Amino acid sequence: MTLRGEIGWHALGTSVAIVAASLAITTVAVYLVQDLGGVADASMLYLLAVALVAYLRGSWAAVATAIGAFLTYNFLFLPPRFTFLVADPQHILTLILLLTVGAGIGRLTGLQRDQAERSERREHEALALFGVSRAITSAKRMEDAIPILVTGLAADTRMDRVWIGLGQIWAQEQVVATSDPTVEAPGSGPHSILRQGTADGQPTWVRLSPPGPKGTTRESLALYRLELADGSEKIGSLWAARDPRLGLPTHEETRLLAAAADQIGQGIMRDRLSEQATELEVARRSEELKAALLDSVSHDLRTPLSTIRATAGSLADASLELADEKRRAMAREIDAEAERLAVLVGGLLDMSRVEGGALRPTSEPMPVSEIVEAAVQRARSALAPRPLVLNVPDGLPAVTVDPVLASQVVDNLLENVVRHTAPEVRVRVSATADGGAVRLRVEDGGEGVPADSLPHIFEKFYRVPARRETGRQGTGLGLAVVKGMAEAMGGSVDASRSELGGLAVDVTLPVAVEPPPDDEGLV
Amino acid sequence: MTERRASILLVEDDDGTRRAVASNLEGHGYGVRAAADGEEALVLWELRRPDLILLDLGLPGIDGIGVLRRVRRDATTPVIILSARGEERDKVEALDEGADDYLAKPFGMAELHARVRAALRRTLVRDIDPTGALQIGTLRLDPDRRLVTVGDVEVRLTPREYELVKVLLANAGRVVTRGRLLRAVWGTAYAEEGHYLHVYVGQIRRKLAAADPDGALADLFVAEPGVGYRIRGDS
Repeated sequence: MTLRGEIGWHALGTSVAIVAASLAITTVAVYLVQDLGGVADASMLYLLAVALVAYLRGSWAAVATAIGAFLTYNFLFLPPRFTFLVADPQHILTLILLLTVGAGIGRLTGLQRDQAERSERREHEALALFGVSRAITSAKRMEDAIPILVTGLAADTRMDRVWIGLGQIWAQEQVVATSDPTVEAPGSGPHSILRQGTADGQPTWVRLSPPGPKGTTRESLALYRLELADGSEKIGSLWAARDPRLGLPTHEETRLLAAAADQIGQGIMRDRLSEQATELEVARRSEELKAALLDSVSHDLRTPLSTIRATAGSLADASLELADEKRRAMAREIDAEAERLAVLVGGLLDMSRVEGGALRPTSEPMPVSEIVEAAVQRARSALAPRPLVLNVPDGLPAVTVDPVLASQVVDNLLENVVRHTAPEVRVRVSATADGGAVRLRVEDGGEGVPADSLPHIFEKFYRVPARRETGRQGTGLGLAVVKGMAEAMGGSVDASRSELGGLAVDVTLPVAVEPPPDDEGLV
Repeated sequence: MTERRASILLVEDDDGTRRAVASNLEGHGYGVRAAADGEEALVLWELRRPDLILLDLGLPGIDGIGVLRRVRRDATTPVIILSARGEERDKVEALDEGADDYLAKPFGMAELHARVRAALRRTLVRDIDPTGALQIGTLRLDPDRRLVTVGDVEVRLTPREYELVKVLLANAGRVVTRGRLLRAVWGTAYAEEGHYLHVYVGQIRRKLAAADPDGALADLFVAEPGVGYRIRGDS
């Protein structure tokens, strides 16, 4: 406790100096008033000094002043002078009054002052605690609050720095926040740990010297550690360091550190629990989604299969008399349903390639016109009789694509138009240069997609709700495959309302860096 | 019709598909022999020498490519590959090995008949122009004069565009792989430069379209994405 002593001596010195100075000044005043001014008894002036000292230095300094005043007055002013003897009984009364009233005033004033000082400290502590809880409650997560907290704590508890380490074992903690990031946190070493629940119920600092090389030199920093825990589970520690000469943390500082450690510990646990809850929730949702997708797929697979089995069963039934024309119609129905199945299975296959990372796109420069014209050619009979406008300017830069994927992207977009529009709506395929990319747009004058459905149409198995009644049903895969394939080639997709009135889908593809091959002269 | 008597070797390991396709083709008057694996297919090939082969690529034992190579050692009999979706590489390999066409499974019967008819027509009805000129619809290529015309209009092509049109016309109706086209027109060093083709075919399309105001040739060049090109043979 030598450190505490140094501080004490310093304060005592100041008090002694103030007591001596006030005594000296009052003595001069008494001399002036009593010996030169002719007043019979000016001893009460000392009471002023006592009150002043009580105000400045507290009750014990005031009592000392009263005793000093008693002795000084007796020695200097009461006959026989310059002795501690008192001749006149009247003067004895004066002295006793001076001593008791002085001590009384001093004690009372000092107590009041101590009271004021304590309540000021409490206010400071309460403010600091308030700061801690506000930092915790205003941040969504503990980890956001910690950096602010440690900085505030360092200031409030006169610490050089305060930091938080997380880990089960204190010597292997990972520092997650520090009030002074410029200095590396001193690792394991001798420190004081706050132990709760000792005999008197007060937490106490216990010195902990871990085994290992013992430092012979005096540590430049005293380390303090408080455990962060949730119940019995250790989470980590709140560390604080300061100049050893400041001594152990005061009661207030200790209380503040302990309260902060408590709150931080609980907050971190809360974070962890809510993280787990979120992960569970995400897992549950994705399970639900998978179940919904499975439902949708099995429905789409089962419907054509039912038709096929029922129709084929009828055809195979020897007891059924069917006209030739009827038999052919039934066979055509089987063929059509099988084709529907083939489209769905193809889409599922594409989707699983997109999602399973099985797409290994090649990349080669290709003129947009080649992609578009070939796709339009393939889709021409399916699109007919819809009026088709092709607007792909000649000067457009080539794009870098995988030819197979790029073709399928445009095929799917045109199929989408065929599936979802009436035979008379206008269709437009256009391309424009857009910075380092070419934007390819397929749009129609059909009924379009409601604005709130637009952001979802590239989602797997999404179907526009309004269309569910109309019977024009897609697989919910075509546009999802478009998106997956476009992105695999470094492109992107977007959907909007077309000038033609229906849906416009944009596929943006990166421009090729390689120039097209040189042409030579004509034949 | 002559083609109705044509004989077809169907090589397919799936029993259901094989039975259905075989009975359908027989019903249309073709003589059909069916094989369930590569060995059986080669035996039937030696015995029967069919006019056309429908060949599934994924076979137990000797696979489709193996069968194709053996067949090509002996004859130029048209071979149509039956392949599943997404097997572009196998498809290209088969076409490079000399297969004439391919059909993706599952296919419709109407599509199968169209391909079979087109392939047989190329062998049975080879109308060789006495001047050696190649002609599809109004498009005509005269190798002696290195002249390409649409109707009466001359189409001015660069030497490479000309070679490209010539290779495709000579193989009208058949898929010519990118590799074969590049080797034939640019030379072996360019076999991987597929993007040359996109550009040149694009140019040829535009030049033909300019010479062909009624659009009769609009869909002449068919791109087979990732595989190659073909000129439609039945124009």
